[in-house]
Amino acid sequence: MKKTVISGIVAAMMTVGSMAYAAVELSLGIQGPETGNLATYGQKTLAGAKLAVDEINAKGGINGKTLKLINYDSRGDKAESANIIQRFINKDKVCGVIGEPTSGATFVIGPIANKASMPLISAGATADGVVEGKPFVFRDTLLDADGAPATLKFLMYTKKWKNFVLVTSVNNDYSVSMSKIFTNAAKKYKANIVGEQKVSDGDKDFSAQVTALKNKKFDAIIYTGYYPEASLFLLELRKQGINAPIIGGDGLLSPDLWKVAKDAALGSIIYAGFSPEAKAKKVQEFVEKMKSRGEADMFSAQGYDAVYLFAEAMKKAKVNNCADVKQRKAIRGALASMPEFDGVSGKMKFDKEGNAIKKPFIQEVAKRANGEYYLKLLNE
Amino acid sequence: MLSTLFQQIINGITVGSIYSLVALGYTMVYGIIKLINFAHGDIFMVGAFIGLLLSIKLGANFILVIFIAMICTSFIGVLVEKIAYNPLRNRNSARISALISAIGVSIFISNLVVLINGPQNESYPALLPNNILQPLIILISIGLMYGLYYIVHNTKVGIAMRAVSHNVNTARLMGINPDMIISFTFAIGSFLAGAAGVLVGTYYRAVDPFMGMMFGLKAFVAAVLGGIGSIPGAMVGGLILGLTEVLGVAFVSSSFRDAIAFGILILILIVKPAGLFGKKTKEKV
Repeated sequence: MKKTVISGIVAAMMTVGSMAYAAVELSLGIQGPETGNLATYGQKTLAGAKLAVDEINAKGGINGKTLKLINYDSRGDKAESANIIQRFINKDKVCGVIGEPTSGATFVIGPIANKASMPLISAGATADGVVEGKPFVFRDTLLDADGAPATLKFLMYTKKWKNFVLVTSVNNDYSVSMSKIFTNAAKKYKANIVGEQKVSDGDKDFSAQVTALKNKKFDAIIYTGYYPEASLFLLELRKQGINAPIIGGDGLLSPDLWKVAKDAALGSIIYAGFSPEAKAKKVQEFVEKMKSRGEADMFSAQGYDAVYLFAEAMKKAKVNNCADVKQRKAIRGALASMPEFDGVSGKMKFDKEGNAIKKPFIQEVAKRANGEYYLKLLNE
Repeated sequence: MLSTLFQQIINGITVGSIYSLVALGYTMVYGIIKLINFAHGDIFMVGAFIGLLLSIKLGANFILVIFIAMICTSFIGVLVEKIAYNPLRNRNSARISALISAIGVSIFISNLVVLINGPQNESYPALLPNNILQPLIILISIGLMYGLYYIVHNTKVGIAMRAVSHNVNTARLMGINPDMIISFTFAIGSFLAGAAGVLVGTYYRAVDPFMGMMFGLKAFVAAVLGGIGSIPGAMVGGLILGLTEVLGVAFVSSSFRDAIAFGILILILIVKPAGLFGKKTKEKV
């Protein structure tokens, strides 16, 4: 009898306590590799998202409540990413999740989030098929399906390049997808792929692959993998006397590319959904604000935009309790039907699958007079 | 076509020589105390990072950097032995305790470097000019391996090492101090691993805290391939592994790089588990 009374009082207190807790703040989750060799992607996205959350709270929050950002480190490990999304759904009960920066991990967490009616915006996944068939999964990234062909066409026209070598990282979903897209684009625009080579994420020795390329004639190398291997591949190319530049997507987008490869990285062409050199006022304001939080780049810009996209949707759906599935469904509906959103990474609208339609920024690694490396914007 | 084949062979021998240098450390330690030193790959990585630090402080002087790095790495190897393996030996612990300790040291060292430096690739300075890089790496490896072979077969310390690897107690009866010899073995093995570390950094122009894992694992395969406990075995095993890996990537498929190395391990364990140069030890009743 006594035990029942005490447990009854405790249960009542906890219910009241959690209700009070739920009434005070709304939360968003964010996950990505904050440590590990892909840490650039996770850390940058988090920095941009934190800036957005701080700005929103300074202006009074969402629907009168403070916005809280909960972040976990997935270390670039797919199993850990799955654990984290489960934690967001079952334990933290957030209103929405921003993640992951890599296509591979987003393929893993997308279906899980979709099944639990948890809205998910990836601020980095660019491969084919990430959002299709999953109404709760969105992305504010530039699709490789749009960026790769546009970049190829641009380079063939402005630099008069015709012959290319294609290098794919076979254990990397993003790379496999992008290589397919480039192959099709090459067919469409009548470019020649004179040779193909395969590497794997985690490889250190590329002497065999580069030697096999040496007696072929080509203008540039399309490298569809990530920056740690790309920087080593560049060093091997220059060591064996090949001076051709590499072309790639936002997988190459990290200062570590030129920190490791140094001058070997000069001339590398990287297309992305954002450029800090763009002259638009919104972009330059964002670049200024990010100076004290680690330099603006595509990942921080898209993380920033993802938070604001969620904020817009949460305001429209008049959300006050993240644990309520009906309210999360309303957030999803608000995202899907959002009229054109003007973000720092460009104006965007979601198509019926949840992809954003954005304009590609084509950039080239260059060096300023003071020796500092930066990304020169080729197409304003 | 022929010049490409020749270049690929040189690529393979270069990678293979580096595997051999690291494999020697595994094989010597196993030969003398029957321990697979899982931390050896990470000692090789530490050697590379020490070389990086030295080249920043002392400038890009290859000979100075590699020599001091080798000495520091050798010192660290002895330290690891004294802290993590010797106490277990003195307490007559089961062999598996030392193995577990080795894994622990490996994780500790690689994460310590991550803590100090971060997990990303670090750029290595160009300590040697590009055109003589490969021949020089091969020559240095041959030189070091010959030096090791000379020590083991033509000096008193070498006799002592071979005696301890045959039977510790009999060696002790002959007046040899096994602990000193074991420490010396670790010192030499780590000395070579330090050289391999700086050579890898100079060759690939980048190092990272986890490179010890993959390299160490492949060097271990090379040691098993040649016959673990056999010094010529480790040298040959490393070269075979390097060649098959590079030629496999160049002419078969680059998706199978690591699969080739571990495929060789499985093959040799099925066909000739004692390795190419290994001897079958018969139990005398």
